[in-house]
Amino acid sequence: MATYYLNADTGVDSGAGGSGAPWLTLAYAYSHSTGGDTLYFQNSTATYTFSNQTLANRTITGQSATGVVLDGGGAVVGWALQGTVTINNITVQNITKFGNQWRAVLSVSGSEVILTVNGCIFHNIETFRSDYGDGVIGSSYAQGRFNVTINGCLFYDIKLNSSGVAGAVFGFRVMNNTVASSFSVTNCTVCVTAVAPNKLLGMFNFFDAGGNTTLPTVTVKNTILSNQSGLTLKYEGNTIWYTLSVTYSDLYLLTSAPTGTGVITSDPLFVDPTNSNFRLRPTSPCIDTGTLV
Amino acid sequence: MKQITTPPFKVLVDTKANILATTPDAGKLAYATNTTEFYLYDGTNWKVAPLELKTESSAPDMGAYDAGYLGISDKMGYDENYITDKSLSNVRILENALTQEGAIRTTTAGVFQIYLNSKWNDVVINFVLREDSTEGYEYEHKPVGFTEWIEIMSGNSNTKDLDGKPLIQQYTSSMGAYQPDLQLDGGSF
Repeated sequence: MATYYLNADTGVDSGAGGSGAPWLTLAYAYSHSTGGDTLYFQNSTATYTFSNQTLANRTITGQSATGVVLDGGGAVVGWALQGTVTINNITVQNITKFGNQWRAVLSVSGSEVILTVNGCIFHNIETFRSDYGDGVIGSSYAQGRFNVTINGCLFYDIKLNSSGVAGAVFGFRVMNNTVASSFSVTNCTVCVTAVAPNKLLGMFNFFDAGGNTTLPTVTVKNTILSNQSGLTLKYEGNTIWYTLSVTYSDLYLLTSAPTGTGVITSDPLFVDPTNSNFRLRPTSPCIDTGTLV
Repeated sequence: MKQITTPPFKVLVDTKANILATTPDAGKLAYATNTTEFYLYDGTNWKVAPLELKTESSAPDMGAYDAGYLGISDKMGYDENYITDKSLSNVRILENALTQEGAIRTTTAGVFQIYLNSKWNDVVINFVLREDSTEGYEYEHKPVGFTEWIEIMSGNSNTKDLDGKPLIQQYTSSMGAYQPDLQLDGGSF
């Protein structure tokens, strides 16, 4: 299990990919690494390019979430994740999913995928069709069990649109699950803007695409889900096909919000959401009201 | 140097008055339950740490920050204690959603604002204005890049040439030591 380095400022797609001679592109790094390797993104002034990429059995680690920015250039792009994939401390921005109904920005796309996302920032992303796996994190055709764990991530300026079917932040098209899958969101801040007055838009959408014998389990904890649009936005999209546990979370301005221990629906009182500061003000009801994890 | 070597070592926990009434060995630590202050006895005086200890809940905050994943997990700044008689160096003023009188902020559009009279007001920058009591209380400003004070209405400088005419007239200045006489253009009479 080796570690290879990338740098958007000084990287060149040749050489050994060491810390002093980093590579430039993820495509090159992926093709020159093997399963179990870590691809380490160094902080860079320039943004990295976020483009279509298959990632199987890799760890993607950024030096810091604010110092490692992957930009999609407004294009319809995503990563297809297979096997065991861990993503730490990166920012992904500027992506639209319209026209690419079969892939989320981070798309679980294998027979058995274990995805862990820690300390990442996702923003300026527009999703359209969650029943086809068109979300920020989701799956197009998850042909079997998936275990997705999202910890300490910030999602903001996430625009939900609709191409006739729901757009969602987390959109999963679930197929052939005979072993229960799981999807866990802990200590995340998710700020969504609905851009179409469509009640099908929601935070979560899990669509039963057939062949399933068991429901996936969705767990939400210590998480703030906030509707910033002023338009009606549901907690769930048009398809509710999972077993849900939501606790110690703030579900602000969402309709059909489920209840649970420690669940509130108050304004989280961010410092300055207009200027993308989602830290909590001193009087926030979310302070000290999470649970130990 | 005196070291406390006898276990168990315990911090003195009492009210502030009771702590200050004691004269322990040097190095004694104390915590005041009524003022939440922390003290050290230096052998002569009790020294107070200029910080107030706050109660920390075992429960974390909701959201992405308190968990530490984004590298920002402290709670400093949560309290609204009044701070006075302090000097600040190397600080920045960033965004501020606190809409209370006297709040200040800078915006991403590069505007400095102060919240007064129930609204955010832009603060003019790169603009220097004064009322000059030596010149009949006229309003003067010093445009960016200028060194002379200019009277706003006339555009004339306070500084005079050898003839006593303004060195700058109507925001223009001529070469030489003597400024030309201004010609009035009053249009049609």
